[in-house]
Amino acid sequence: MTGFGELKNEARDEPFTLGQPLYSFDTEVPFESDTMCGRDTRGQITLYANAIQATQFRTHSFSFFINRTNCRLIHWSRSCAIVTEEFDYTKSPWLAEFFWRLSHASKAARGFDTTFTSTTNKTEEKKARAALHLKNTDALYKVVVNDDVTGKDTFYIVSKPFTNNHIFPVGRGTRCFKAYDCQTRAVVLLKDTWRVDKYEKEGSVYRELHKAGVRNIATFIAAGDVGHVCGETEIFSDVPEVKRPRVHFHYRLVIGTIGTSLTQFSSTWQLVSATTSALIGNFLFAYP
Amino acid sequence: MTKAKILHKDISSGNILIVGDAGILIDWELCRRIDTETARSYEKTVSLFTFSTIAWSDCLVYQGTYQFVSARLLLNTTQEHVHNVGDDLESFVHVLTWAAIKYASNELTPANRSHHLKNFDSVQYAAFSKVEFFQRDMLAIESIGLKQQPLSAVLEAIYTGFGHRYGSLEHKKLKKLNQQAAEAELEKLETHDWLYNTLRDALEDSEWKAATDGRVNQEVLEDDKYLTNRQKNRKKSMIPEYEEELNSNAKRSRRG
Repeated sequence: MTGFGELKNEARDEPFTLGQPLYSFDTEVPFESDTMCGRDTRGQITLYANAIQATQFRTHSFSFFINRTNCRLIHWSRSCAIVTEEFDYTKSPWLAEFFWRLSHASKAARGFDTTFTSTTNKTEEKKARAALHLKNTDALYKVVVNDDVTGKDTFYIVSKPFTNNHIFPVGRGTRCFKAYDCQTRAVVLLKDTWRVDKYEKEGSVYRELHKAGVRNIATFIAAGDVGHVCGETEIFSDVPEVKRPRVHFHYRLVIGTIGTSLTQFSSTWQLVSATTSALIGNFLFAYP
Repeated sequence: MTKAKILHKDISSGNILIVGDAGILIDWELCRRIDTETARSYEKTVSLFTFSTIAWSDCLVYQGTYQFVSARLLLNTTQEHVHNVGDDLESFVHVLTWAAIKYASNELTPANRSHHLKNFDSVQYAAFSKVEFFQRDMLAIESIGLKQQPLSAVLEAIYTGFGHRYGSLEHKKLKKLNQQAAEAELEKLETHDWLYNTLRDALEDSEWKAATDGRVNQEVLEDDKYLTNRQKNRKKSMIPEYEEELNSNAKRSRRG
């Protein structure tokens, strides 16, 4: 599924205000209408958009919303939803043009993450399935990670993520996979995330911690930007910085250590012991 | 002693992994260099955006996983206090307490256990309940009734220490007797040494190490007490087929 449309036939279901103040003393009108029906409609379309990005590998998606003859186009990403001004689709050609453009656009422009490719090498596939304990029916994807320091490409085979932080509409949308390392044939952890702009890249933090000799952190393999960015458009240029949506960069990180969750401790001693060694990892102290 | 100048800032049960008997800290996405003295301006806006729907609070200026954020950061709406080492350390303590209440064998009734766990989750009460827990220091841990004595003992020691940060009775008494000693108690909570040494000494107990008191799935009451009426109604009416499916699945898994 590429995108979706939602049609309503009642003025009260309108999820967005027209920018007209309701009362004369209102100076600023919120764009999102605060009526119950309006909120429900917003929730409904957000749910649909979220279902797409939670079940597919997407960078963004498009949808249209029609209320009577009024239409709006919406662009959904990890940063925010961008909504166009209202137009009458029975009079202007924009909706038709949108469909024409969408159907002629490349897969990547339509918002599919084309860096998840299907595997082609049968023997490699077999080895990956054995290493990751997968059934023959489980989907496999090949992912490339371009390290931003060494510049080297490395390849990994993954199936479903074992985390579910990506099911929320906005934010980092982190997916963690158990991955088969095509180079070393080991099982590693691949983290596919949308890192927030201005924060230090996790890969460089790992590099620095290892350089400082910090114990009790994961072994680092590779990390780098994928090349997708969201939330960075010139339409926010006249919005004050605090009100702008966050800019996210698609980022991948591979680490060599796969542990078990702290809540799965096999004794309370292990619980405290693991927490204590993580405490050392938190902050390097040259303990004797 | 050399120090890495990086602060993790998101210590949580999900970010500590067990590898053998040791643990590793993962997810360094939110970390900050210690030498950056003030909070970065965009961090303030980050929290504003994420929690802008919470009307009772003007501005929340913490980052991390809510359940484990230090009480003083949760209370800090004026942006005066900047997340520092002491806050990360307190998060480790919250992780241990939360795990002890939820998964370690203890004497809490299901109702009390749910109450404690809800306090960790509640946006409204977490700060105050954390402060209250610390103020009662070792008595708070005693009330959990942990079956594993050394675990209880080490948590009691830690809570007595952190009680000073939130003005426990002991801190007030000490302050009257010796102002300097009271301040020293506060300072030791700001570096790793004290907490690390306390934990390390406790872990030397070989009898405890040999015990196999793993995770227990304890009973927790499920209720809708914290939902608003509108949320409850919606939960019922939105997708009845889905609800039925969920209920029948739950029944099946209970039988199995």
